[in-house]
Amino acid sequence: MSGMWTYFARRLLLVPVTFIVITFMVYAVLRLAPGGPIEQLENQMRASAAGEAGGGGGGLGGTDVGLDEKAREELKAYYNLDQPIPIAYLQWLGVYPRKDKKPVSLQQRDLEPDFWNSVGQSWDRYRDIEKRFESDRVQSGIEIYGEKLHIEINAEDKAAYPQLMVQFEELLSQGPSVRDRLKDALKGQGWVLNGSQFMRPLSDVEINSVNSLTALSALYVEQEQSFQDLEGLLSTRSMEVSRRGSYFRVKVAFSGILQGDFGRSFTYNEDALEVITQKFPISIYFGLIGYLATWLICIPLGIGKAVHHRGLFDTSTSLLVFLGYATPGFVACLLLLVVLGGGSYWNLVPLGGFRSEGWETWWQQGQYWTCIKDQIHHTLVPMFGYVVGSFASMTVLMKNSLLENFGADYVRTAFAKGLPERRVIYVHALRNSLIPITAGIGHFFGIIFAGSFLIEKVCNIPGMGLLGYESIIRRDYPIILATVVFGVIIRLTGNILSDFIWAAIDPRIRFK
Amino acid sequence: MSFILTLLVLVAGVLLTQKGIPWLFKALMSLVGVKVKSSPLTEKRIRRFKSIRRGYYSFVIITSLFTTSLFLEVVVNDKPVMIRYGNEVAYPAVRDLVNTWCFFVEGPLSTYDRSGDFGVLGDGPLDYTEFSKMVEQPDIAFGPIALEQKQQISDLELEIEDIQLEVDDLESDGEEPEDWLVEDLKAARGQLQKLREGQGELEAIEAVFARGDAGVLWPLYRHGPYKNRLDLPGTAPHSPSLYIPGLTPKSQVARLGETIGVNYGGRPGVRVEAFSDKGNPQSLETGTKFYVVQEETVAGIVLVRLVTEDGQSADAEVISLTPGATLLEGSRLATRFLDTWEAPLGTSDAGIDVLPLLAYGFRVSVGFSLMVLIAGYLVGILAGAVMGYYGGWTDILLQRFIEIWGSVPFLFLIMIVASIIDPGFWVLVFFLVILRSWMAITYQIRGEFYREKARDYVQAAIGTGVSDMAVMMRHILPNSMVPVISRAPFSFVTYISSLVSLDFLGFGLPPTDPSWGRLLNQGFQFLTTSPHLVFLPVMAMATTLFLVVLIGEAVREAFDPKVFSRLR
Repeated sequence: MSGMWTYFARRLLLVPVTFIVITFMVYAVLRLAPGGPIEQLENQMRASAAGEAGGGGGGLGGTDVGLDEKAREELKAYYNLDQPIPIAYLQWLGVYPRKDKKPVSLQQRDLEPDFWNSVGQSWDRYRDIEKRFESDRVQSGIEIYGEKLHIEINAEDKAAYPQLMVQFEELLSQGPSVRDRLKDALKGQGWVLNGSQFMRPLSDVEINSVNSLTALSALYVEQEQSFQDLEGLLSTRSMEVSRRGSYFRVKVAFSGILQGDFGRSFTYNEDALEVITQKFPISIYFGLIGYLATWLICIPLGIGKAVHHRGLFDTSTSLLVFLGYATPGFVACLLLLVVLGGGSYWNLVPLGGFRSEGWETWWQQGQYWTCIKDQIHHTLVPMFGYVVGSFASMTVLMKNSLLENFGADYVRTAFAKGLPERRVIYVHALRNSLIPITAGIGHFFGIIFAGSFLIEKVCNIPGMGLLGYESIIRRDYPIILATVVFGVIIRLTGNILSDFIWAAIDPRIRFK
Repeated sequence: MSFILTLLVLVAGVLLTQKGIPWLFKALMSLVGVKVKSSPLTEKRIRRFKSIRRGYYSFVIITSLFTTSLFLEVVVNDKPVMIRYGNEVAYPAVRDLVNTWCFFVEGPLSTYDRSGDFGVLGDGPLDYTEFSKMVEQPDIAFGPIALEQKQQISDLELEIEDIQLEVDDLESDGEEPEDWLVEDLKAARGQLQKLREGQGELEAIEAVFARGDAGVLWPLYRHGPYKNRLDLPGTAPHSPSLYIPGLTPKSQVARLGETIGVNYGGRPGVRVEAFSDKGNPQSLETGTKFYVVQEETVAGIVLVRLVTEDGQSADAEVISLTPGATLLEGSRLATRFLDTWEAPLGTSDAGIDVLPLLAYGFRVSVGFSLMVLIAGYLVGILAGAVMGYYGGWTDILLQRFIEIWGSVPFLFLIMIVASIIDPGFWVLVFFLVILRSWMAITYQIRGEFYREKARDYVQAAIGTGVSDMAVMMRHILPNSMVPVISRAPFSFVTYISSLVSLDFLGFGLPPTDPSWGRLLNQGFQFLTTSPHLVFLPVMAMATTLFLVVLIGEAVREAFDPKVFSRLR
């Protein structure tokens, strides 16, 4: 017995390792992939800007709608993309601290009027200098970028660097990935790309040679100084301020999935965990019903096939089993929807969904019978899909397991002591041959998750599978990762559970 | 005729697969110096396999279809196998075939034929359909062009005559004709000269076609999986012209009457008359759509709008007209373009013929699964052999690795990767092998090696100093192939389903490649209107997989029979 306990201990120890390997793989792939949330946002902005420009009948080429560098940095920090992958992964996991920013509300400010007064004064001073600096800057055609002053490329400068400009503009029009490469190339030459403008840092000589530039740089230094003052003031209360004037209370804390923080979904703008837990019961409902139906069909069929092994019943139902092998579950759903979904043939089932619209109101109105009927209506097709998906393998498993038991010594003994055939088959042999099927219940959870992608998409069931599929298409990282986390945990524990059940109900099984 | 040809092609496929390839294999082996000799046990198993007829016949069907499909470009294609014009000969479909098989280089052969070389004026790519028409009916194809040219020439001649008269008049009056008049005359004469030359050229070309000095040899089915069927009227997806219960409208024929004055929103109206081949015309019904059949092709579609009381004639609206066609009075109308053999299986949502899509999809699916199977089993056998043979830490580490790797949600991961990189055929094969298929066989091979290693013959081989690799490959492996062979067909089924699922979700092969899964997806989008896009790929897939399962059943029965003793 002790061997078995070490076996299960080892299996359990392997769970975290497996979990970390898989989630890290997915995390890294997601981070390395082009087309992250920021680029998607930019694409959206570009698309909407193009639409507006087209609507106005105006020039399409001239619109500059990229995010400016300040906004990009801020967004990167928001999505935790500014950290290197391993650190970001550990933060996501919750074993490495991360800055947690929470906006300071007005009520909170009212609690400490003196402090916030001084903060407000400090902010006003900063804004003042910033405004002055901005107006001066615009007048002199200088662009601020990062820590340095830059010349903005205006029309005359474009004439001075014609070839460079033409080449860059051609590249620019080719989309975000080219844009990034272009930026790297420009960096090497001292140029900077901001939006669709090209800028070059001013040399000290250039700055000092022009009076207005010297004044401007002095103003810039002053502006930065005032902002630092403001930050210094706030940092005493562990707070931060953004250049847009919003205040955050910063807490450096462990906040990852271990603490139950899965991040906010990009598309639903809700807590990822909440989104998932809403979908979970729906998947479980369909999966469970499908699994029960599979049992109800496969176990009697398997028994029948085993009892009449090589008989007429066995051979004729083999055809069904082969067909079951040859048809994936989602294809069966699709066929059923075509035939019964009210297209060219009969209109018996709805074209998908979990329940009809207005189900909740019916329930509140007490129309329970309508509700139940509607639910059954929506359940039929997915259930059929789940049944077809595991029909063949389960029937064959049942049959083979029963046949193996027919050859066992205890069956011979039972016959020898004169028990009737029915009793031997249905009581003695059947009980033992149900063991592998019962043990498979652990795998069932894994099947719900893996098999549900396709069936949920075809039947338009708003469960885990459809959520995972859509989050991949929309690049909703927190949701993708949360789905992976749940999927892996369920699968791993399910497998161990299966083995454990097996060992528990069948004393002959010994793992080592 | 085409039916007989199809049969011939299939018979050739069967013969090639069942007799040709084994013979070729043996010949090659004997050339290299390896004598292929199977052990009596293997021969017994093969005999047993052949005796299970449903499995054996499935094997013959699947393998023959697959070998035939390797030459699909010359059987089903929108390009002719051969075109000939005078001394010029080209093999467009054969070039396609070569290009397909040389996938590792970027299109080694050009798929371009210059029009000018094949008797069609101009430098653009040759339109094979047009060329084919010219070969088959030179007078009809050439008639309009030649007539037009003749008309132009006679017009020009009249004009020249006019100008000449004017000039002559002026000269006879003793005046000098104006400069522009002389210029005109010169230009017109030059143009006439050119036109006459052109006419000469055209006549020469026509003569070549009329002599029968040009030819075209089409594949069995004239449409390919890449080009959409612009020749069909109406909008894609088109319903199949073959009968599918509940989907294809009931068969009815009628005759096209004269054009009537009624105008349906800018579209002309026509009279339709009930008509029947058997002399018992069915009465017409409002809303029936008729295809206008002319010379075995479809010239347009008309929709019945207003039926007379006796139902024997009706007003109809012309909803669509094939470009270049005119509606001729007395044309045959049919509710299905049934006898025309136009798109017997309908078209996809992009208007691509479904029949070639299914055929090429078969090749892609089976080829894909074979690749995944072979590559995965090679890796799996290697890993299993190492685990079982060396044991110890190698075994334990690899076991743990497989346990971890096996828990990777592979469909999910492939979806994520595919949403980023748009994988091609080989990338998908690679991912499926790496993420899944190699693990299918590893544990069984490990077990076999573990057991075999303890046997005396292996210990003897090791004792005589045979290298590890040789022991594994030459001594143990041949004795552990049974689980590999008996599992293979079932793995094969899984891989085909995987490819179809991925394609269905839109994360599979590139969108231009023909695939069953994408067709299914289109069927899913047109669920209520175009069920043939679901039925046909499902039928193709289910039939293929069913046959493979039958093979698998028979192979298992023959190689790894489970003998159940029933006590009583």
